[in-house]
Amino acid sequence: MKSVVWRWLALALLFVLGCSRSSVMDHEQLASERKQLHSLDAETALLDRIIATKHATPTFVHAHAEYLRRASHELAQQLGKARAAPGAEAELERLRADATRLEERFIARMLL
Amino acid sequence: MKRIVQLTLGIMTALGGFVDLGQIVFTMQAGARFGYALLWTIGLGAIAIILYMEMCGRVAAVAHKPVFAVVRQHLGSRLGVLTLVGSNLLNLITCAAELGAIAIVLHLFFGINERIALLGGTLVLGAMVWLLRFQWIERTFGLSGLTMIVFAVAAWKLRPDWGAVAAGLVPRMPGHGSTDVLLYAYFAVGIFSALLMEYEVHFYSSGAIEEGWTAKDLPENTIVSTTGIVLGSLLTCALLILGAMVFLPDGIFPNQLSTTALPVALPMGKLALKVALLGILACVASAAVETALSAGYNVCQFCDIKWGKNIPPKEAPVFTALWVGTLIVALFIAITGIKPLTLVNFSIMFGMVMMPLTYYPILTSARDRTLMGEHATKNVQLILGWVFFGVIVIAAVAAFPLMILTHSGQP
Repeated sequence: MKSVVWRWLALALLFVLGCSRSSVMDHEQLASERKQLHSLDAETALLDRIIATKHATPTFVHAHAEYLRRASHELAQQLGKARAAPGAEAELERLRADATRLEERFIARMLL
Repeated sequence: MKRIVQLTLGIMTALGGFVDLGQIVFTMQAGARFGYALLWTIGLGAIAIILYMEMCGRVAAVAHKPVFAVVRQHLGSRLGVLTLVGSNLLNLITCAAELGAIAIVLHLFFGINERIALLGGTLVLGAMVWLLRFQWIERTFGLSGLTMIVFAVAAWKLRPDWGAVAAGLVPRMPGHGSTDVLLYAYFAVGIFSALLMEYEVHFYSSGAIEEGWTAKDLPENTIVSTTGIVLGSLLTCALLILGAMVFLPDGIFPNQLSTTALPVALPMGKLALKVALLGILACVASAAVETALSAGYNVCQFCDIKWGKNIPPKEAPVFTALWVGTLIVALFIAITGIKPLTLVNFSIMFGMVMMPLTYYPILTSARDRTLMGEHATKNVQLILGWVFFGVIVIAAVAAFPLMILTHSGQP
């Protein structure tokens, strides 16, 4: 029974490791972060289209924009804590700047 | 006439109760990432769940044995206990994810604080389960889930390329490097698992016993499980199509539950958005109730303790304490602020790992002639059952490695 417990614990550890991202980011990981950033940006544009056509309630728009802001904040924090793998420093800096800009856009939108 | 009405209600309930949070998230994300290329997994999962749901309904009707009674019989006490613990842990995590999703939808709908929505939503849900009989629980949530049809209408209105949609029903590998192949496999396993989640068969089989099914009800079992799931799968296809049409062209990867309602708002406006939110609310509430009740069903069936939603709570104290306890613990998990989508990601992969332990006993019981007599599984269905069991085992082995390698499916 003990060995079964250890096997499950090892599996849980593997899972935690799998779900967490290393704080040292290489080009591949940075490309993935770039995609997430682009996705948030594009989603904001989609939300703007929906607002322009009055296809969503104000409550929904406000709540959804807040979820997007939180997501961009988490992404900016994650990038802020990350270290770049050799050769990826400039890319990480660019991403950090873009993430901060996106978060600021969300904050400005919430203040409107 | 009464029979036809009952049958129609059964089909509509099965259709409305088929979609849950896991399906909404995984299918939309798959569409957003791979277009129509993963539609075939919905077909594959639908055939598998039709086969196994029909089997467990048949075993319940003929042998009057629910899923966990056959689990104990076929897996023995040690593996049986492991299955029971794993299944109930899965029910708990899924229930927490669904409760968290209820809070999000209520927040999107009324703007109320998420924590208050979580507490209020759970309280209302608990009261409904306490007060209603099994049939009414099933019908209330199942029928309100029919509002999800608005997603199918939105997909239709966006005029997809039906030729490309049909091509998606044929499996093919993506051609952009190993990361894409792994992600493709991860979403294939995720969609397959979401369609076959264990609590669905636990609930269905227990429901058959609650409603006193006998061999006379076998035609109803076949019609409801087949038609309800086929229609439910079409709805799931619509979610994937919306993901492919609305999100893929702009490079959006839907990581928020609120995002999944946007494809309805875009072509159809405010009213449709409200209906879509109602549909999501009904689906996640239904899944929360089913997982909480399944936790009670599983333990009582395994330990041979009196159970049932249609008997007074005093006469089934263990069962009542278990479903109420599951709802309360799930509420505590959800209130910690863990994202429902993170929980559902884990529950779907964990569910896949546990799946062979649930479906093997169903398969072997349904073909057992001493137990089932003339109603034992016949040749073609048995072969298909084993083929799909093989697919389930392969997917179960691949689930966690894929989750680790793809960082839970992040693009």
